[in-house]
Amino acid sequence: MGLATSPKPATLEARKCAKLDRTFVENSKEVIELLDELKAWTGVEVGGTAHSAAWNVPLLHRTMNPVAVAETLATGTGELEPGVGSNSRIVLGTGGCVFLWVGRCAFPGADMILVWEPSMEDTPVAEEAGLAAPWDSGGLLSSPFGFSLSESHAIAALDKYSLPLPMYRAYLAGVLEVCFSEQTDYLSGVSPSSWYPGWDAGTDHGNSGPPSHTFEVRYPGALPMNPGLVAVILDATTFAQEPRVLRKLRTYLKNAEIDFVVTRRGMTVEDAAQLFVSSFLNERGVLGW
Amino acid sequence: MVVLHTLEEVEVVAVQGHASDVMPWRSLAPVFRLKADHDRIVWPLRIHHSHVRGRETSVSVLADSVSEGSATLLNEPIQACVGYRMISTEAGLSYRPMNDVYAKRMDELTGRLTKALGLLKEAYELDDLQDAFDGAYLVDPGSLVAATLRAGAAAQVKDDVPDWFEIAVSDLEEFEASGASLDTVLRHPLTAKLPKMEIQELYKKALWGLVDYREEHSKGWEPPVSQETQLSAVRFAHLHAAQPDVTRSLKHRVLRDALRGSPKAIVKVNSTLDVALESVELASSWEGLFHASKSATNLSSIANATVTDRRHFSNNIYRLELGADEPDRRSIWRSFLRRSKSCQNLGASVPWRQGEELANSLRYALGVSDAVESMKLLAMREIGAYIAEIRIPGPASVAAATALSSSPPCIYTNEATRPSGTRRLLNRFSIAHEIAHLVIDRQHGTCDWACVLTLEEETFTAREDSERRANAFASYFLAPREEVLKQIPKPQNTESDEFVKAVLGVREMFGLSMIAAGEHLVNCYEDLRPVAGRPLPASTRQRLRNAVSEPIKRFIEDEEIDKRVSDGPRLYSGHYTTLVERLEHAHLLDFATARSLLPEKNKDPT
Repeated sequence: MGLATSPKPATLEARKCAKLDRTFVENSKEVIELLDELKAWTGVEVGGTAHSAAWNVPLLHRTMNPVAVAETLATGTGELEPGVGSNSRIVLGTGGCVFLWVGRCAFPGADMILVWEPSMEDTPVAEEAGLAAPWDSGGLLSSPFGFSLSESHAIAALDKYSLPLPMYRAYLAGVLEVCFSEQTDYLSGVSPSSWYPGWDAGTDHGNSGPPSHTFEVRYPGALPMNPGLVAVILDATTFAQEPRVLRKLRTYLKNAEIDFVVTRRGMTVEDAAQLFVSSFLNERGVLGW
Repeated sequence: MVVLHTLEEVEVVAVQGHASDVMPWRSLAPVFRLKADHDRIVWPLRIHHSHVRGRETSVSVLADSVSEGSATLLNEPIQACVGYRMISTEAGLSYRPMNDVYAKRMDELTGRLTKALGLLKEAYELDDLQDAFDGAYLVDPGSLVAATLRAGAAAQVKDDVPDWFEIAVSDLEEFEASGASLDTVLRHPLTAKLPKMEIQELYKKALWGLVDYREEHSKGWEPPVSQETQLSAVRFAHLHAAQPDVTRSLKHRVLRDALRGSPKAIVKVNSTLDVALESVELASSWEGLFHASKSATNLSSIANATVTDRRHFSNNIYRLELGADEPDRRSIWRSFLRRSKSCQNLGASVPWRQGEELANSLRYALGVSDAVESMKLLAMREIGAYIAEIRIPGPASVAAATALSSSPPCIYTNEATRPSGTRRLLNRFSIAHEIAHLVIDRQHGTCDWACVLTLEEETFTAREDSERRANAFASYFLAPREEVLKQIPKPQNTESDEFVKAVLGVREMFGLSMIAAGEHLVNCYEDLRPVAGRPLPASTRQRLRNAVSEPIKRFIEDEEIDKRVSDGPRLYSGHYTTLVERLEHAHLLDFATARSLLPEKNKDPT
């Protein structure tokens, strides 16, 4: 049941195709198996109480290059290009992807965060090419669980828990419901209370923070930025040398009816994003988040 | 995991983000490492004087962040220091005293504003003018002066660049919405360094710009909208609450505007959801949700009333009160602002003294001569505050307040962090503490405070100036020095039984918690520390805790107040849950809807 039992090295393409070429029924079966695993580890039956939250939680992308992204975004047809990323992406074969987080910014330190509504996963391109995993996969080889996985085990973990879009949200609903003391702990970055996908029996999973328990969406190739974008959250002072770019961005966002949020003194971009996500969920009838 | 460390325990190893842009007036967020364990990294959420509160991760997260370009490593770790900030200079990253950085920021802002104002006298290009004022504003988006002058300049060229006008004035409006008073611009120290004529001219244009902007943006939005539109919004809101999946495909902004009652958005929503609407039986229930005269936004307001967004909550509560024909708290609040205006000019220059001065003058202004029987009643009746006991996010926040220009103030105490038994005494202190923010700190453009008042665990020393001032205010407002000296003889030393007895006396007479009473007593007699109050040794604090056996009868408990006010204004007290229950009892909400609006844990299992 744990990660250590089924190392299955394979190339990225082979693994991806294997996942994406499955039928809806096959993928559903996989979700059900993972939900059964949740129950086996936690002893709790998934009751569906987090269904609404899981299916409404938006997607986030952090950029440390806000000026360039703003310029591209303001054209209205811009795309996010896959970043260079860490070495682990190369090893895991996820290097050609744009990475999004589900609901919260897993890493601290961001100058700009883009937020998309969940329906952006309903596009044919996303459904055919995107995959999601229950952690920030970049850390699989370092210490997302408090210990380092070997390459083959990391690949096996990624393979086992990667699910197509938007079906992974059914699994997210289960994880929110049974792994955390309060479902809202997920957004707050509080660690799971009992078990979390990928934790092996008897292993000290340590405390490596939100990257180890934040769902990630991997979008192969360039991601069109504008469809489904609901908010741009940023630290405006990063544009102090480039006021014209920010003005262009704001004019575009205003005309496109996309929210523009700037941080105030003492607030980080991640804090502002967390507030925005809470408000987003509340406005969609997901109360108390 | 959120952790708390002293700055002595950590060193700076990196900064968050790119550090390549040379902007020596802009503080960069540091990344700390524990000196005792190099594998433990702390990403600060807040640095309070000599402590840092932050999220702890393993060092691998830092390594990943560096490789992704979201953090920049220092060449050598630097010992963290109180009052220092990281900046990026020509020579690389530098750790400098905070005052240096503020001075640099002020210089940069002054320079850029001077240049922008100079442009107005020339034959400027529109782009250059916008760049100049935007550039100044972006040095410090929290500067009301920069925002006002920029809005004034934008108003001047409104016809040529209407988009810029919209952006600049909407930014200025946010200041106003968060409680800032525009007339402080003309008295601001920064303004004194700039040409007077141009400032006054732009200030006037900014004010007129605001009027134009509001008029334009309230067309077709503000009540009274047509009854049909309101009912349509209610119908949609109910559908949304009942079937969130149906509305998932709608654009976020359209959804939000529809919930707020925007006619344009409702038309859009209705056309999108025609089929869905027909399939849902609403006719029998939606009309009964609210009387037709009430704002259509109320249902979503209740649904959105969570403490993750206190500003939203504050506005929603006020709207509900208006909808339920409650007495308008705004008039009480305005009256309080008038009465407390003279208290805002503080002669003392250090926070602790300022707190005492403010307490004395406010007691006088409000006509409080004896011990305050109930801070909750005082805040409600004299200030027009809504007092709510709620769950405030964050482990250490025990009280919060909001004071928006759009609604009267709210004061929140945190239900999650109170030990039972000490509750009502701590609440007295917390409410008084927040009142200090409402009177003094609101002037500086702040409108939302979440405060760490861990009086049972920490001393008064590690605080920001505004927090120290508010703590001093709370102590002296509840127990004025003069009264304490009159009633309680000076104890010999804090280790004696006599001291414990004296502290019990302060607690009994003035309604302070045992620790606050002990520290206050010492401060009243030996207040030689102008910056902060004097903490007691841990052993003394423990003795004081152990000495408490009886609850105080003299002061009114919150439960009694709730009973008293239940015959009067319905919405003035209690929890969000209580609010929904009361609306249900008053037949303003049907039973099923009330249940759907309550958090899961509050629903009656039967």
